[in-house]
Amino acid sequence: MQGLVELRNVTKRFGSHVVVDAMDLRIEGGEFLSLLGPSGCGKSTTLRMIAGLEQPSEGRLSLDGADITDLPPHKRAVNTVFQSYALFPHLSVSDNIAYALRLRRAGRTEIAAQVRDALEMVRMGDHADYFPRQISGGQQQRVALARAIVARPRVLLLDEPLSALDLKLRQAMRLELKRIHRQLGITFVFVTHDQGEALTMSDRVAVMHEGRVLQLDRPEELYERPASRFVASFIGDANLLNAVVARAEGDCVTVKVGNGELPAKCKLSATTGTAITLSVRPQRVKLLQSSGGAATGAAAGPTGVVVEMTFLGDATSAVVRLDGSDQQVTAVRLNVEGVSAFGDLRIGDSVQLACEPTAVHVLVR
Amino acid sequence: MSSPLERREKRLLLALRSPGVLLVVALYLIPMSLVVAYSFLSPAPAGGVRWQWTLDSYRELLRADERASLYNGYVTLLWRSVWWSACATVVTLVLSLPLAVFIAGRRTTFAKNALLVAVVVPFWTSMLVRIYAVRFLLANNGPINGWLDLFGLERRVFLNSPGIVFVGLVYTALPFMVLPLYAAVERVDRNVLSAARDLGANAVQVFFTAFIPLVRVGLVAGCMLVFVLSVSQYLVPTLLGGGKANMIANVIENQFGEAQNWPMGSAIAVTLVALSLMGTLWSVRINSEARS
Amino acid sequence: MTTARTRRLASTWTLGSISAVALFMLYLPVAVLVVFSFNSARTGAVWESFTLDWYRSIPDDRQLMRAISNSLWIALIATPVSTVLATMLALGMEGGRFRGKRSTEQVLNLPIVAPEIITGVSLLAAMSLALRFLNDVLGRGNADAIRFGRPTILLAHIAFDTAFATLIVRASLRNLDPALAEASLDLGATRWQTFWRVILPAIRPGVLGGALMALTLSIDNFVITFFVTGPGSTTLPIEIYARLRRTISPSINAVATLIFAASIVVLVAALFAQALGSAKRKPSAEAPVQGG
Ligand SMILES: Nc1ncnc2c1ncn2[C@@H]1O[C@H](COP(=O)(O)OP(=O)(O)OP(=O)(O)O)[C@@H](O)[C@H]1O
Ligand SMILES: [Mg+2]
Repeated sequence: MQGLVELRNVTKRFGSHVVVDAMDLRIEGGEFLSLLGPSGCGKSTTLRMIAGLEQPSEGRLSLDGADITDLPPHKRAVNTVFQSYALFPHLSVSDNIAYALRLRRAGRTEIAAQVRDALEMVRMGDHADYFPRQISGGQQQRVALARAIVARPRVLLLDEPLSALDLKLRQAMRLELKRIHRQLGITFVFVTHDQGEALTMSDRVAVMHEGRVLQLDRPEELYERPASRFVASFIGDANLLNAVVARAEGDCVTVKVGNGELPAKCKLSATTGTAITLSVRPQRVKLLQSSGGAATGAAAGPTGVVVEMTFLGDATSAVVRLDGSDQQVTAVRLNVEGVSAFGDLRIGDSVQLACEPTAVHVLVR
Repeated sequence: MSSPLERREKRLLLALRSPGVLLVVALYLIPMSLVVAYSFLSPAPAGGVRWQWTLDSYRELLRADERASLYNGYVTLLWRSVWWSACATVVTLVLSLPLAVFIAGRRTTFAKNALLVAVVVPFWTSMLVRIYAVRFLLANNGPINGWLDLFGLERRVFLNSPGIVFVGLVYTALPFMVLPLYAAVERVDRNVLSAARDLGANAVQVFFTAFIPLVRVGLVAGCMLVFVLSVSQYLVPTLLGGGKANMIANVIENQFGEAQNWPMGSAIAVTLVALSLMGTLWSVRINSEARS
Repeated sequence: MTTARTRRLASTWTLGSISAVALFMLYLPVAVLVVFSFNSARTGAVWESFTLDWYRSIPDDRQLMRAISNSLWIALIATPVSTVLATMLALGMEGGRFRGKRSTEQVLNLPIVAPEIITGVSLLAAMSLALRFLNDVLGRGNADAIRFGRPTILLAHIAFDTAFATLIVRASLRNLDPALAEASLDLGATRWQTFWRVILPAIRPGVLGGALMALTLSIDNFVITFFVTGPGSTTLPIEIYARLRRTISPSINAVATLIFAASIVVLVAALFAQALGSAKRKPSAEAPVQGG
């Protein structure tokens, strides 16, 4: 499959400021890959280097095996959807889309047909003769997309294309983009700082921080098995707890948190007494009312006091302060028919924590 | 360290700006440096210079002489030009500020634009034509004297006096003051002024403690522009003063022309630039203070 | 309540009347000049009757016509050349950071801040030297020497036209979204294609404004031209100036009126270009806007 992009040891410096730091990245042909990270971590710069709008200070880039590092942007089979859309204000919608085709001196009828197809694909068929200033932001975005795909690039780069749209439109466009990706079958590289966007749309997500890729994985893996504290906190909400390994038995460890213990599945060979960080999703924290008789399993979970309960609409969250420690744990339960799934739990109640071993993820500190 | 693409881009930009930059270097920077050099040389008999270094021109320049004429008493002449220009700047400011405030205060865009165009037209038209128009109006045989006749009044001589040169300076400078002032006044937040009013300041206090500091940058810029324009005026003293109220530019022209003393002309030119530069530096300092 | 309102009304009236006086002063001389260019009397002191004779006499005035054609020849060459140079310079200066940008900016500021009289004498000094050198190298004697004339005027005009036009083109380039050019390159256009298809259409009002600025400066300039002119290359402002120093014929009034009218036409064209540019950028009210 075409559209394989490889970055080898790519570094970008602005002056002495290292923005992209010795990055190695292999983007498979035809996949939908997101670059996810906080503002200023170098996502746009990475994208612009692939497009050729920025030159790496070190390292090489290749497209389908051919080195493109020294190729100017107009010679790369890569197109970009810009964050500000960058539609040409003096050209109509159809002339904007025909821009790349005219540069290639395609035939008149061929151009007309391809422009029509592209407009259909983004569902803007009846706006061909409008000018960019005459259409709404969401429509401009579609035109920018059509303009970038009409020349059949091998790779489409999208730099936060949805960030200027309102919430509803943003969610509708996620589905549209997925559909177009399936229809075209080309590589999409999608930049975003919205983890929801990255998780719902991508085949794989590269989490970036300070110019480096911290983890590159499928969304489920990323969510369930974050490799570092940063990834865990950046992807979804996670309780990050300081803990110490109490016992290690094969791939199962028991860790000491607060005044209790929790079981965890762990592949790494942690020795007793190692300080670690636990990551537990709020949805997977169970709260047992202490008064109702604590479950006494292999490990007795830590106890704590409910300090906050918040109604979230479709769910309720409870914050528990662990006894004998200043750490807090958040638990979330879906509401059933508008009734809190925590039952009659109140602020001030004592509770005991419990988790499935598969829900507790061990991160080495 | 940079990649071939970046180097190519840099070369392209250099190629784009080279002709223009070279043109300005060749026709401004080098000639002006030459004039500085000339001011330290000795005059050749028929114009031009002999390459013999001397401070004679500056010594001559500093020789005080009460009878200011074209050929001596440069200090008096310089002082007079600076003094007139400073006064003209103040008068222009006093006339322009109400105009700028009035334009900025108009509610409809149409009224605003119409008034602005009224100021831009003289700004844009030939200085020579405008000065000639003043001269025509005030000539001994001109319309004003014609109207005086009509009312049975005695004719008067307006032209060829220091007073009319001063009027000419203000007249030519007015649009150059209004435009920067207007830009500054337009940006003033009216709420700040009302707030000052609410805090119990009277109109005069609001003007000096709130309004003037707010427009200071534009005000200083306008004053600087007008001062530099006036102090180097050539056409106004020539056409309206008729040689009886010369300014620095007349002496420079005379030294390069009739008097054939280029080093002397250069020394005066250098002094004029120094004076303008002082004005500019002063305004830059005032404005950077305003910002901090 | 009422006192505040009367006070506001009173201050508007004061501002308004001072503004009216300032504008009246600004326009009176030119207005009178325009009216009296249709006066059949030889002096401005009396109004005799309406006539177009002074305008009719212009084409028969060989010397005047030569001056006009010289002025046009210079302006019509200097304007396109300096517009191209200014556009290149603007692209080169706004295209990104480079070493020596600050000093380049300062050099480019020279023509803007230098008093004209200084520019004039500097060019006189430098060009005399350059011409002497050129004539020596080419071995030209007194008879066939290259002298001050149209080429020297043209060079000087191209220099200051370029400097001022660059200001305007740069301003419109700075308003341009850099992503537009990047999008064009990204879609497969070369830099050259990007300039013609995207950048130039976007900055066209600025380029046009710069060209009109250059045209006006060229046609109007007196002081600088005065120092680099030579026999047989008299431009219109210099011809008018020379006539003012001799006798005043009313035909000068007609010529001055025509110059005034021409600058207004150019100004209107410039304002029109600007308005067209900003109308393109802003979404128009009638444009059909639909929710996405
Ligand atoms: N042309 C430039 N010159 C200097 N520094 C730059 C330049 N472009 C980007 N930077 C710096 O590089 C860093 C990373 O920028 P980049 O645009 O890649 O971040 P980003 O991850 O896309 O952030 P955002 O989510 O805010 O768009 C920032 O600190 C920025 O200031
Ligand atoms: Mg970005």
